[in-house]
Amino acid sequence: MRCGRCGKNFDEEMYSGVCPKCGHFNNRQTEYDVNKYISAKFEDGAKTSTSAQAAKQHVELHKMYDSQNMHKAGAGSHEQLHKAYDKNNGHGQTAPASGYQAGRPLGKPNPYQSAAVQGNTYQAGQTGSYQQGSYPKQAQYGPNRTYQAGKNGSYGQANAYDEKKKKNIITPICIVIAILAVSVTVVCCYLKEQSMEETYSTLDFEQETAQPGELFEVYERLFIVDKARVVDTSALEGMPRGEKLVAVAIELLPADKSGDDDVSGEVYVSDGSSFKMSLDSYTMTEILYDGDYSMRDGIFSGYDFQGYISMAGRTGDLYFFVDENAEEITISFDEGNKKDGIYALQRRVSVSLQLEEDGI
Amino acid sequence: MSSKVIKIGSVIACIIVILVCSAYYTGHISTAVYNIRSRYPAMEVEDCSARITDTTPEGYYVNYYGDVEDFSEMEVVEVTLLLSNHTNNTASIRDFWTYYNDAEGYHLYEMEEDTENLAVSNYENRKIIPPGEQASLKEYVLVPRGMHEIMVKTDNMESFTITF
Repeated sequence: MRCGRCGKNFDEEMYSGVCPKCGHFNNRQTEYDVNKYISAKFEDGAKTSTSAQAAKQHVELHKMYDSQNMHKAGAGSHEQLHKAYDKNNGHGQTAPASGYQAGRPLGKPNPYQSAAVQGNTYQAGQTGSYQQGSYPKQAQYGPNRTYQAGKNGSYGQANAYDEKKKKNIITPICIVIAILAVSVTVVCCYLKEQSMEETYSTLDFEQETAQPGELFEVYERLFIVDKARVVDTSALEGMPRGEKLVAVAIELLPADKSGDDDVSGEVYVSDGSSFKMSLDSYTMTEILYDGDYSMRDGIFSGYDFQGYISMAGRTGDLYFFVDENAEEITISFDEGNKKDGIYALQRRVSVSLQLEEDGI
Repeated sequence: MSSKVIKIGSVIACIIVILVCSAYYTGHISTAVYNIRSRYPAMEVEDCSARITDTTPEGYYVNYYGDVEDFSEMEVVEVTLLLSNHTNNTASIRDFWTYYNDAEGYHLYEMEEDTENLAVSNYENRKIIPPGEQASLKEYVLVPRGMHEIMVKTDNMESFTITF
């Protein structure tokens, strides 16, 4: 036997018609009755309907029945369903192509009667048991009835199965969510990239100045830039042509806590025509002290000014090569922060210094 | 295929799509951040000028000049470019490249700075342009005598002509 709901083939005798896969009770007799009903010819007044017309009427009636939600499991007992059906005049004369003709006087020809469907539930024309509002308790609603929605009736089961299939809204929701996720990702990537490009190319920072010897704050640390002196390099070899070495004395004050890791920046000088980065402390130790690294503490590198370094405070010199004709330089401390992962300049503190002649 | 399998498959596929989207977003943004942070700031040429020098600049030498052997037929032109940095990234002048051509499109060679005997390399003694600042760059170009116009192309795809 083949299950009417899920299509599984199984031994009807072994499982008594109950599908081992989905539990659907497959009533062969019911199917037989329905098929017989559909294929039967019956009289409708003076007319004789074909089986196709009868089937169409049957379907129409079911549609109307469905519109009242009466095939649904839990909608009530069969009698209650009929009452509800009557309430909506479902059994009345106005019912479209009603094959039940419940209000028809007894004895009048009834399509079902003509069809001689044995075991059919709605043999109203024979017994009058389907007259509206008067359902006898022992009505011939035998076990073979066709319209036991949600129970054994094959149409009702199939309909419930269809409704169940219709209720699968998870798949469409998942598809919508997936499409939304892809769309949102593409849009977010584009917007984020635009935002980063804007951060990169938009300059918006505060320009501040400080005097030599004046305390100022940058990189969440306190600084004093004292003076700038020209270092005598006449005894040194390999100095850049047209430039002189300058040492800028800086005092970095102690700090209680380390600064934000996202705060960073650069230190550089301007001699009026060009900007120069500070020289690395290792390089300067090599040049000035012939590699004696015990002297390195007195030499700053640019990264020594980051918040987490030299917490106890430190005093030393930053070294730069500047134009040999320069008499005044400006040392600047740029402080930036990360925005969208991109460094953005926030503040610039500059100190102008007159160059003093000095030796090593 | 039963309805249950379809539902479970839909949910799993949806979760996979969301995870893939998250991974793509994270990777894409990380790559974008890396690309921007490692990008050479696009320095713009604000002004330019050129003049013929009487003497060869100190510390510069001719590295290569094609097939030309007689440099008496050549003269040195000092090109001064005023560069500006409009980005939030500090620009290094050594990352700025220029290409010189004559009016017919032939390449003109620059003189190179002799840094071989320096105690401090040009990388350590680095010329920069901080965000929002301008600085000048001097370059020396060898041109045939009598030439009064050179074409300049930058790595920002800028192209202009300097008359001297």
